[in-house]
Amino acid sequence: MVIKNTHYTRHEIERILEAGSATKLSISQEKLLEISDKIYLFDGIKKEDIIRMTKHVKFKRYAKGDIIMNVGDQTQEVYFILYGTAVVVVEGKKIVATIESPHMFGEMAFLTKKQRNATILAYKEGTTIISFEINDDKCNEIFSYPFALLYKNIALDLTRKIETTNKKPS
Amino acid sequence: MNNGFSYSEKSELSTVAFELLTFIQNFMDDYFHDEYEVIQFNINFLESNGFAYQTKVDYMKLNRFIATAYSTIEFNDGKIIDELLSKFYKDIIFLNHFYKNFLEKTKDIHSVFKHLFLKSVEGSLGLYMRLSEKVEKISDDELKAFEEYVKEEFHNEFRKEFETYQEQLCKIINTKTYYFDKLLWNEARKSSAIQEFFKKSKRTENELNDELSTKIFIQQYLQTIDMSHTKNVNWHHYLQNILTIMD
Repeated sequence: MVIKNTHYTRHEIERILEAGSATKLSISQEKLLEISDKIYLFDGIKKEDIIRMTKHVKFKRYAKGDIIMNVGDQTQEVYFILYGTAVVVVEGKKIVATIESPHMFGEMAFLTKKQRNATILAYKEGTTIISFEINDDKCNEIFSYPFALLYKNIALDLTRKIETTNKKPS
Repeated sequence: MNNGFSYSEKSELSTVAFELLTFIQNFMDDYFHDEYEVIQFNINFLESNGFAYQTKVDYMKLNRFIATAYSTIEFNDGKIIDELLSKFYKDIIFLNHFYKNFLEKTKDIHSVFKHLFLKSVEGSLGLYMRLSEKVEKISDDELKAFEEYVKEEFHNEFRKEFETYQEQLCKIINTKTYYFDKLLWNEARKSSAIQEFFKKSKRTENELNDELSTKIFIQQYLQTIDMSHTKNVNWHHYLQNILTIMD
């Protein structure tokens, strides 16, 4: 057999490499990757997989008092505060908690698929939030490992929350 | 290992086993010489130029869709297929043929053992004479047992070599095909003739402008399949899964 090893010029190699990495990310996706190491959901998950498993990534600034999420909403977005503060409001105007940067909220909705049970407002002018949805339609037998990691991260977070609650004096 | 053939001295056995392995290894080096060369060349090419190995999608299973994409693009706007794309495509076709030949030449280990390896050492008696320092007469039963022992060793070594070469060839072909697919569509997207063709053909309900890729042909193929009647459920299910992870 004649061995046919194909040779490529430097310029050709550059063209091929450029095309291979040409999957263009939106600015919001790039921002999400930038901060992904701060988002516990993504612990241990490769950046390329984060892009594959998320959708509708948005990057938004809020004025003080703007509604970020409304009680009763059927949305499944996860929110991460990049800058500023948000407050959790129930029964109209009662503030029950504040969420500071860099923290996240709303991450259980994609698991439970239930309505939001609180309203969240921007408390500081210019509160900046990145939001995204977990695209669990993509979870299948070939692409399942990143989702296994995601669920593990959620389980670990819930465990931590239960431990903290248990430590609080009754 | 004991197939009824044994040496009285343990040290003698290990020396013979070692020498036998050398014979087998020398044979393998000759037998897989082309594979070794192709793999070395391609691994060196990919690694020294900063390519990233692609393993998520098995592009070798998607060859027919890549071929359809290539011919459709070439038919609608031949200018897209420049020297690089044409060369790259031929390279991938060569590698796929090469891989098929590799599978063909490795599918019947027993035949390789009997007709090539044993022949190269003048049969099991010839091998026995080469390995045994004592020139003693060997009975037919002993020779048969010896041949069984050699056969088992040969099969084990052959399987190991096969798996190594197969893994590397698949990795190379998958990676090169991934980059080829990317380059092909990267160029095709720039062509108004291609954009028009896919808009007119209305082959899928997806937003074609954003989704121009080989996925179109997989989707189109799947649309023609009645999943409740197909015999290839696993294959079609595999393709549906592939669509979710292909870029």
